[in-house]
Amino acid sequence: MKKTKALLRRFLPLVGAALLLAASFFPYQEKKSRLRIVPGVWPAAEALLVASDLQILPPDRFQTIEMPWSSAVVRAFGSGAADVAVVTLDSLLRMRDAGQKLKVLMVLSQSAGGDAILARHQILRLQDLKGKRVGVERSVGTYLLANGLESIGLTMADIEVVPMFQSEMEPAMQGGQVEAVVVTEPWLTILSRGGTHSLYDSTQLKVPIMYLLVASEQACTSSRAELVSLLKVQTEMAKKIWEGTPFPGMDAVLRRENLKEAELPPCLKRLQPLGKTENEELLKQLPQLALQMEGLMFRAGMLKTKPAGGEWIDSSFTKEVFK
Amino acid sequence: MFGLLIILFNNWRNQQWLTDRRLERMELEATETGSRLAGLLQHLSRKQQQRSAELEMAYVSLSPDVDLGLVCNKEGIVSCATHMQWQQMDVMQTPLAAEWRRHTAVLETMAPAFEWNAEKTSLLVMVPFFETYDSTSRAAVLIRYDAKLALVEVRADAWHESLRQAGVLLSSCLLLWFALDELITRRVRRVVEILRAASSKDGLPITLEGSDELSMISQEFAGAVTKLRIAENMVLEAAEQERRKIGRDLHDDICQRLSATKMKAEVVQGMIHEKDGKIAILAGQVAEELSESTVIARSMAWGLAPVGIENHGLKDALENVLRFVEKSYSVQGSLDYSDVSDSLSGSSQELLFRIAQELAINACKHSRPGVVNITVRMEGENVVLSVIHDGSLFSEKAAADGHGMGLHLMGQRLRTLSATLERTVEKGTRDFSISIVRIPPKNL
Repeated sequence: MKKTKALLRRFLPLVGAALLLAASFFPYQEKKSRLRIVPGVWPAAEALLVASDLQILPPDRFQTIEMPWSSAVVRAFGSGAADVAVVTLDSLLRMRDAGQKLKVLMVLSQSAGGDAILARHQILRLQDLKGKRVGVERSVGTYLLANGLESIGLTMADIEVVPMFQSEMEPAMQGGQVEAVVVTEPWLTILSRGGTHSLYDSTQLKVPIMYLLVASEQACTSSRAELVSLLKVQTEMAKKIWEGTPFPGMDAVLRRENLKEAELPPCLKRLQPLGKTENEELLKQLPQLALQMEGLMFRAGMLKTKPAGGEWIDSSFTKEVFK
Repeated sequence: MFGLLIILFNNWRNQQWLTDRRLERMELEATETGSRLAGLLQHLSRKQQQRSAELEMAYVSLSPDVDLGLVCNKEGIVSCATHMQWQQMDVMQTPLAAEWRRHTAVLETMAPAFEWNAEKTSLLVMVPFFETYDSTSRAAVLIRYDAKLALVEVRADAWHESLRQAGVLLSSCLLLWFALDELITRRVRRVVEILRAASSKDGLPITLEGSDELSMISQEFAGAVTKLRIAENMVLEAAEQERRKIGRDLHDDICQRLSATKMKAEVVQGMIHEKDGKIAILAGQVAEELSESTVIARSMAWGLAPVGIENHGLKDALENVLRFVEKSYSVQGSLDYSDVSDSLSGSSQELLFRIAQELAINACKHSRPGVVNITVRMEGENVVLSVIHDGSLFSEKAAADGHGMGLHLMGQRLRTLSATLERTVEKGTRDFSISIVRIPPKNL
């Protein structure tokens, strides 16, 4: 007993000093901020937006920021204001070209006619676009247009490209400022109301338009659990939305996409959601598809350099989600 | 418990402080964003830059505290929103309908409104602006901030900081306690032990090492005890001398006179024996009483000044003690004596005699023994005095409570000799109480 006491006395100051040092220099808790998601406002991201509206993504863990167009999404992600974004493959290539450190976690959907070149009645074929003013947003639209023109032996130089946001296309068409536009859903449905017709759409592409969920490399390491939850919620909610109307939160979708209830099912049909098998397959094929897309974008001047190699796909998340 | 209360109080204060700062910051952000956005939207709407206005609203939602932001004209139509689903809707169909209704006067006064809810978890800012150059084209920016998450973070921060502070406090207390115990408490305890030892044991008290106040106290105390012991010895010596003087005076003067008077009374008795028998008898009685008085006076003189030690040695003096107790207390006395005169100086022999005398008389007075034995012998280099009796057990505490000086004086004598006193009992058919005094050679 005495020996124990003596031993305790000897170590007491050491223990006290160690505790004092530990407490004095105890690191400030690094605030684990919410996972910031920029899904963009398009049907491909509706599963995440609805989940956020219905608070299936808990607001204390996830912050959803609605950016009105795709370039704003890319900028928000690139500036570090967001950790997760929903982008198309061409945007991803541009982001990689800009040196952004990111990982593709999942392929959400594939455009099955959801992107198209719309023209007025007097323009019947793609060839008729030569020398015409075509409104296009600097995103996936440029890729679709370049592909369409290349398919008939034209280049971007053969037409007059008018850069504009998709929301500006309807009045621009009505006002005659442009003869054709390249649109994505829901604008495709909205513009179709005005009697335009499709000259070329995403079903004709060799490399399809894919909507990818990307996350910053930092988020992949620091918020893995949140990302897995996010992907699970996305998968579940996409299943509910694509199963058929009505679904929970549909009102908000109609308001957000500015669509009528009857317009929503055909709009969603033009996007093909991807299940476990397709996702695994596409993630495997993604490097090859990206290379093909890179080639076209490089030829069309959409990419200045070819992005450097490196690991930019992380399939471990989907494996965990679908196991 | 006190520490826990302090930690909880500190946590409460931290929370209050951090909450105030956080809400203040939120208020500032809301005011600034509302004003900036109103100015910008006024400019953009006049220039018909609807897309830029939409983008500006989207950037507002980057703030983690913004719950919902709307831009409404005076008809209540939402032109921009942080959540696209409310765009082009009637504000009364949005989650900010109640707030709009409450602050619709803002469009009249054109003064911004700013409101916390009752729980102070939600903040609304409404800033008006003109959509066109027409002063009737009024619109407003409404932004609702949700403070709940921020307050949860504040609470977590406060707890984190409180726990850190508690750790610092605990470890500091631990170290302080250790330092105080090592430097003060243990040394004070040692000083107390020294003080206790000084009052009950023999020899000089030891001193603490070092040059701090406690060491100085112990050194000063040792010095004071030394001086006190010297003074005690001097007092004892003075008392002994006075005693010896009185004893000698009693022996040499009063006793001689009593003896002479006794002899004269005997002569008077012889002279009148035949003439007056009655007076002769009376004179004989006077002579006898004088004889007894002489014996008593001699005993007293001997008790005060044991002249026998100087003239006849310690053995004779101790025998006298035994004779005295035999006579005074009707006990049977015995002496076992080994010569220790080579080992003890004259004054030490006298002190030893006094101790033996005190022990023997105390035993007879308080324990009522049948037999008393005094033994003086050498044990190694020590001189050992034993006083053995078969009376009741001696209680030092009870004797000390009796206000007597005997024990106190005996203690002084023991200290002067650097001797120790040990009391034991030997159990048997009869119990014997044994007092053993050991005198070390350095003081002999």
